[in-house]
Order: sequence, then structure tokens, then C-alpha cells
Amino acid sequence: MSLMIETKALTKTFKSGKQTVEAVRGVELSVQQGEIYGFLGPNGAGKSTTMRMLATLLPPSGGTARVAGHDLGREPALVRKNIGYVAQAGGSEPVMTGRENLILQGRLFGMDKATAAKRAAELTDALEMGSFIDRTVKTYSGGQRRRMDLALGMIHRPALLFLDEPTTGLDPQSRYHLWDEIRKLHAAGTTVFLTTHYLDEADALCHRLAIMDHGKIVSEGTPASLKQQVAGDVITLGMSGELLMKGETVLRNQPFVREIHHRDDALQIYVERGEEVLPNIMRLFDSAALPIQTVALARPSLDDVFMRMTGRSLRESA
Amino acid sequence: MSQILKETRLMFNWNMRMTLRNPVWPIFGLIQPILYLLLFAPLLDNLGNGIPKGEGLNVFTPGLLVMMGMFNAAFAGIYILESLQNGVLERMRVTPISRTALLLGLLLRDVLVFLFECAILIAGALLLGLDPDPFGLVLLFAMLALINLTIGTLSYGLALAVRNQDAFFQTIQFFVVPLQLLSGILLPMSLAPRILRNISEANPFTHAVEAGRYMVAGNSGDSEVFLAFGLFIVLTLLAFNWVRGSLHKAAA
Ligand SMILES: Nc1ncnc2c1ncn2[C@@H]1O[C@H](COP(=O)(O)OP(=O)(O)O)[C@@H](O)[C@H]1O
Ligand SMILES: [Mg+2]
Repeated sequence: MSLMIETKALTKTFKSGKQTVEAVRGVELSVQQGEIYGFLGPNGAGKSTTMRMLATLLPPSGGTARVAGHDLGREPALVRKNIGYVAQAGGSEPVMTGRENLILQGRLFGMDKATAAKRAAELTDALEMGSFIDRTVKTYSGGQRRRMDLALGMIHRPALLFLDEPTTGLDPQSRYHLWDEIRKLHAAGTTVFLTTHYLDEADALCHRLAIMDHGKIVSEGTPASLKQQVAGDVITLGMSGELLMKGETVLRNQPFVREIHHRDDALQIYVERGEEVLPNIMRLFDSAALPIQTVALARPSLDDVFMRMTGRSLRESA
Repeated sequence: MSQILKETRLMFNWNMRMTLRNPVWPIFGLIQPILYLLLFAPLLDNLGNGIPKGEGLNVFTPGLLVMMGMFNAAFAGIYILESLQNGVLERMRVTPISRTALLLGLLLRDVLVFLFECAILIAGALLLGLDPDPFGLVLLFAMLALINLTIGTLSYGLALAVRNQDAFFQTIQFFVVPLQLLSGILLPMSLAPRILRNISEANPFTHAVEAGRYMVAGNSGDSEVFLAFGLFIVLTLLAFNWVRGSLHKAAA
């Protein structure tokens, strides 16, 4: 079982009165065992809806999926045994303590009292929750509560963990802390499927990601390959204005160059792999005896990718 | 089956622990009936018309208990609204626990708390002069439990169906107040004009209140008692099936 999630034409249409919302429109995706896989997209893109279908919470309107080795439609109970799910809203009972919440969750998964208590203590240590675990959850800070939610999702050691917007609304420090926890889970063998509308989170945390907009996956790949396939890298060579034409002549017939643009006193060269090409360019200019004053290599961001695919900036639509 | 029982016990204990930790609602639910008891009891003996002298409390108390069973249970669904908001319900729905156990764990806690409230109220009424038939009193507890179960189940179902505080409270007000007024809860419908009496015949609570009065008076074999039990057993089963179904379907 090397595929953790595999979907075919997964769709969800909500009907309320006369209005229909096509929240998810034919999502095809495959998540390998051992990946951190991300759904990146603006609010309303259909990320949560897709995740809730995969977690057996919503019946799909169409399409099929296998999750953690079981057919979603035919064996939802087996799917549930093998997945953990942490909703955006969390899900811990606010008037009870963290430890009580964890023990109940263990028992809901069939552990006896002693086993559940032991597991709760393990998770308390692993997620460094000792200082607050015996207080009621409603007294927790945002970051503490999110760690608590993560522990609830992990109580039964699921092979696959769903995290819906795990760091939304957290301060930067809590976010980085949570990223570390997610990486630790992954290192321990858990496959993680998460949604986010943060570009840096998708970039830093996910091995592969799908960019989602209006219920569809518009692009998929590793963060690096996504960026590469879109814009390529931009090398900016600063040089005195009268040498620009000569510089362009040197580069024009090189196979790695896609486009060249003139700036006031700089050449902008669009290439595939900037870091590999840059030494070549330096050598060419050296042998042509053309002095270069400054060099800059710019990578496209995931926002450039989103922009290219949808015509909008994710920063603005999120 | 034994799995469902185990899970039901687990959820019952959990819900009970939550109630005991913060028993504001059960205490709150007792205040109004106790006030009614204290304020109305002295008036009852002077009523005369329709009520044999000295038996005012025997007539008044069953209605009061039915009213409490109805009102307190009607708002049980608030917990579901909160659990939809904070994700608790959704989190539980991805665990293997049975939906039946989830619902029973709530309802049984509610019923137990309610019966405890009834016991307090009856103790108060006994002090003030209630003189019930002992067997009838036991039977009355059983009927009150059933009523509480029916309304509690409907309230959970309503919360799942509307998912919204305003709609929830409006719907309850729409149903509860007329049902209460047209059931002769506080005073017998024999005091009301004929047209209201006819309408109230169609109200299950009228029969519950009447049956309660027969039980307290020691006439537990009356057909009205059988009718009330039959009605509320059927209503409970229908309501339970409905809510279990909606628990299976979408959440938030
Ligand atoms: N229960 C529902 N009923 C009707 N529409 C819904 C429901 N849940 C989500 N939607 C709609 O589906 C679309 C996708 O929502 P969602 O999956 O929550 O997006 P995301 O998680 O990417 O922000 C939105 O337009 C949202 O309003
Ligand atoms: Mg969402």
C-alpha cells in the first residue's frame, strides 16, 4: 500500500433551496505513503470540503476515493480506524481538561482506561503539554489549543492524519512550533494531508502540494517543480547601459535562455535553472571581456504560480 | 449490542461528569418550578370550582412536573449547537463510536438529571401537603422520564436540523408555549371553554397531565394512563430514529 489517498473525479455539490454550490469539481489526486501533502488555495476553494469527504464526514456527490487502503464509500468504518482528523475548529471539549479529553478520545477508539491514560501521557510529553494538560481547555492559548487538537487526532496512532488549516490564526512562534510537531509526526512515519492558505506554510512544510481554486486542482507538484514550471528563474545582471546590447549578443544563441529584457542598466534573463546557468553566464561574459557590476538570482514564489494559474494573487484572495 | 452498551456508558459518564462540574443548568431548571410551587400552593385550596377541596396539590403537582420535563428538555439541543461550533461533534463523528451511543449518552444523562430534579420538587410538594398514591408516584416517574426523553430527542434533532441559535429558539417558542397552554398543565382543562378543551384533546401533553393526575390519585389503571404511555413511547421511538439518521448525515 504505497498510495494513502487516491481519488477519481471527486465532486461535491451543496444544494440549499434553489442555490447550488459546486464546492468540489472533479478532484483527482494521489498521496503517497509518508508524504506531507498540502492543499493550497484561497478561502472557499473547496479544501475543507474535499478533506471532510476524505475523512468520511460528508458523502461525495460523485466520484470515488480510496483512503488508507479502504474504499471510502463501502468501508467508511475501516477508513475511520486508520485516519486522524483535526478540523479547523479543533474539537476538544472546552469545559474539560486536556488530559480528560485525550483519555476519552482514546476510549472512543476502543482503548481501555489504563491504555488510554498511558497514551495521553505519552502525547503530553511528545507535544510538551505538561504545563497545561490538567487545566480546562477553555483556558488554553491558541497555540496550546492547537497542540491539544493535534494530540486528539493522533491518539490512536493513525497512519494518515488530516489537518485542516492547522496554523490559521496563530502567532508566528506558535506556527513554527506546530510546523516542528508536524515534521516530527512525519518523521515517525505518519502521512500528513493538510490544507492551508499560507504560501510560506505550503512552501516550508509540504513535500508535494495541489493548488486549488473554485473546486478544482489547477496545478500539482513539489513546491520547487511548481515554481519552475511556471515562471522559471530571473537572473538580473547589473552593467553599464552602453554594454547592454553587447551582453545580449553574447547570450542570444545560448540554449538555456528563454527571454532577455533590457532595463536601464541591467539585463534580465529568464532561464530554467538559475543556479546551474549562472556560472555559465559569468564565464561567457568573462571571455567576452564584459564587466558585470552586480548579479541577482530571483526565484518565483508560489504566489507567482497561483497568479499564473488563476490570474489572481493568493495574497489578495485569501 | 454489548459494544453499544459499553459506548453508551462511556458517553453517559462523560456527559454526567460535565454536568456535575458545572451544574448551572439543572439548578436553573429547578428555580421556576419551585417558585410556582411556593406561590401557587397556598392559592389552590381556595379555587373550589372543579377541584375537590384539599386535593389542590395532587392536581397541581403532576402538571408542574410535566411542564418542567418539557421545558428543561426543550433546550437540551443547545449543547449540540455548541458542539457543532467548536468541532466536538465532528471530532466524535470521525471516531468509530456508534451514533446511537452518542445520542443515548446525552439522553440518559438528561433523564437522570431530570428525575433528580423531580425528586426534589416532589419532596417539596410532600412537605406542603401532597398526598400521592405510592405506586402511582413510581409510575409517574416513569412517564416523566419518557416525556423528557421525547422532548430531549426532538430538541437534539431540531438543533441538528437548523444549526443556528435564532432558528432553534424561535422554533421552540413556536411549539412549547401553545403546547403548554393547551395541556391544562397548571389547572385542569375542565375549567376552560369548550373550544379550547377540544383542541387540547389533540395535544399529547394534555393526556400526560391527565394521566399524571390519575396516577397520583391512585387510579393508575385508567385508560388515560395507558394512552399517555403509548403516545410517548411511540413519539420517543419516532424522534430517536429521526435524530439518529441526521447524526449520520452531514455536520456543520
Ligand atoms: N455545508 C455547506 N452548505 C453549503 N455550502 C457549503 C457548505 N460547506 C461549504 N460550502 C461552500 O463550498 C465552498 C467551498 O468551501 P470550503 O470547502 O469550506 O472552502 P475552503 O476550505 O477552501 O475555504 C464555499 O463556497 C462554501 O461556501
Ligand atoms: Mg476551509
